[in-house]
Amino acid sequence: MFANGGDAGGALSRVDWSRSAVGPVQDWPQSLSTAVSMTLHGRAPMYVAWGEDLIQFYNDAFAALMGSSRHPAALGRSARETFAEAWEVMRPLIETAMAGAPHELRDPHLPPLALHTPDVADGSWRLCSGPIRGEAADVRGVLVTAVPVLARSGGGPDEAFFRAMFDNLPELAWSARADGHIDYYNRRWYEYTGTTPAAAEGWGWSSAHHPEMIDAVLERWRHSINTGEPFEMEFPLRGADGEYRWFLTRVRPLRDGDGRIIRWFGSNTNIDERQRTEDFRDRFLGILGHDLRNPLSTILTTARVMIRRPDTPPEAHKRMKRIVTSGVRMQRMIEQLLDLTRARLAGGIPVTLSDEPVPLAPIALRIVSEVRAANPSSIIDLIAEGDCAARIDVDRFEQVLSNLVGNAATHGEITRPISVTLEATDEWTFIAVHNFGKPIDPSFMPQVFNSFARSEKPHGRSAGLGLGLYISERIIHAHGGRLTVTSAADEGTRFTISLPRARDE
Amino acid sequence: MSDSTTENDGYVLIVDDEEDVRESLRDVIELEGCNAVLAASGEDALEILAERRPCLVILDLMMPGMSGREMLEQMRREPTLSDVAVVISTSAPERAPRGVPILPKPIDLGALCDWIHRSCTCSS
Repeated sequence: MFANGGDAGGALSRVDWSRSAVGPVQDWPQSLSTAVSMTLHGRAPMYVAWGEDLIQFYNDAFAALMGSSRHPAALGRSARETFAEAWEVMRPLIETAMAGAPHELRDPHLPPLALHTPDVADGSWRLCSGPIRGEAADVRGVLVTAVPVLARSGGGPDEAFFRAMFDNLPELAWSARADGHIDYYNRRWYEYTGTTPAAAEGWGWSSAHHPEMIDAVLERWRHSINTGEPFEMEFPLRGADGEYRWFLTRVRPLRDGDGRIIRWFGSNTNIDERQRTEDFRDRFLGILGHDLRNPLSTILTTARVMIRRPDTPPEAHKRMKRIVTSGVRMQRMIEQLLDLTRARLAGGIPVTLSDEPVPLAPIALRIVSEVRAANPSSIIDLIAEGDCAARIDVDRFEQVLSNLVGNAATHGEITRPISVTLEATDEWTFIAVHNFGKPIDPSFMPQVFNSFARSEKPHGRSAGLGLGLYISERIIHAHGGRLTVTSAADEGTRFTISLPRARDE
Repeated sequence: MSDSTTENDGYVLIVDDEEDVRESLRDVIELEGCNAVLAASGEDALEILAERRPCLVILDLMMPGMSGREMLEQMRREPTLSDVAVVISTSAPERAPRGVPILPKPIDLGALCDWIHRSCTCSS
């Protein structure tokens, strides 16, 4: 009976049937012998589950569908044992037929069987079951036949279409059973990792992980399997070339009508370039923050001490002052580059808002006094109306106001006063800085708040890098407020900070 | 106050792994009329502190070996040193521990002199 039955027939012939639930071969009922013989000698994928114990027989064509984790152990074993973890999916197929009626399983219920086999690479399968009746017309077993699902003509996309789509995704994609056993990977996954379906199936993917990360990955993945929570994590995966690259992995569960998880769908997106950028950013911020500030601190401190020391000759004073002035400019540029890097690459300039509203008039007075001291010929008026307070990051707010008032002193017409006005409405607090100077060129207005934007090179030395307004706008933005500008020849130029009004909660 | 733990030897301890930073700070302290003692590491600084109590410690954070933060924690655990005035001088103020005054680098000379005047009787 098993002769010419291929590898499966050979394996079945080696089973000691006398110790199994179906008994020795010579005692088998005719119906079982016929079903097994038909199965082994047929070309289509066929499978038999026999008796109350559902002892399994199948041919080589079906073995390809069983996957390496089940075949060949499943031959001569109970279907309940083989499909233990997927029994809820397989049970209707078997039990309906055992009750005497045909049944069908098709995607997405098929996945307990291996999806990625060479035979089904361009399609997928439908499982059809029917009863096998004995001599007394009683149901003794179940015959299952796998039928390829053919591309439909017309209508929506078919399974082959979806498989082709997954295989052509630029990302690595895969799918797992509810218990986390991965039984499908797309083509990109095999291409990138250089692994084979047999090696990667189930939990074989772990070999592509970095030894230092695998424990953390397994822990998180098991947590998701146990709780049903989506999985999201960044870790390196080893490519076929042996190099590790960083991937962002996201896994989401697919649930049935009762909310039970039936599949997991996962993708790995290569973020290695991003990772490199982030590493570069951190290094860059470190250089700016630590490595440059330290020597600059020594230069400035030394020059300032020289200016203060009574034994420094008077003619050295102005040279020391030159060192200090240049050093301070350099310091400001470092701060601006740090802020630019944070704003552009680190998700925004960090702002820590005060718990309580802070009165703004004393801060404005402090800044105005500083700018007056630095620009003795400028006239700066400060007008505060109403109760102006807001939840702010005081240092950052001072930085913005100092930038705006300093700009007004630089660009304003020297004979006409600069005004700093504080006003409050129910919803907003406004801080406006106005000067009568040459207006901003209308063609330049859209770029005023862009980085490295400068309408013209100021005469003499440049004050900074053209980043002041860009950084100020980003800081006010991080406060949940707005920084706007109007400028006209007869009205002068007005920058207005609008901050959301602190409300009682 | 005459409590012995608050008496000090009238010197400022500078802890920084960069020699140029230490020397430039010494200039400031001596200009203000105080003595400066220099330590290139947290370990050296703790040895000096065990001998003599300063009026002020100017402490760098990022140093090889013991960090400024660790050194500060050790000082705080030592009853005779727990109330010594400490100001952290760092180029990475965002990493400084909370609750300790900070002088960001590049150092504001006026602010440093304020600290010396406030903490040390030696200053002129």
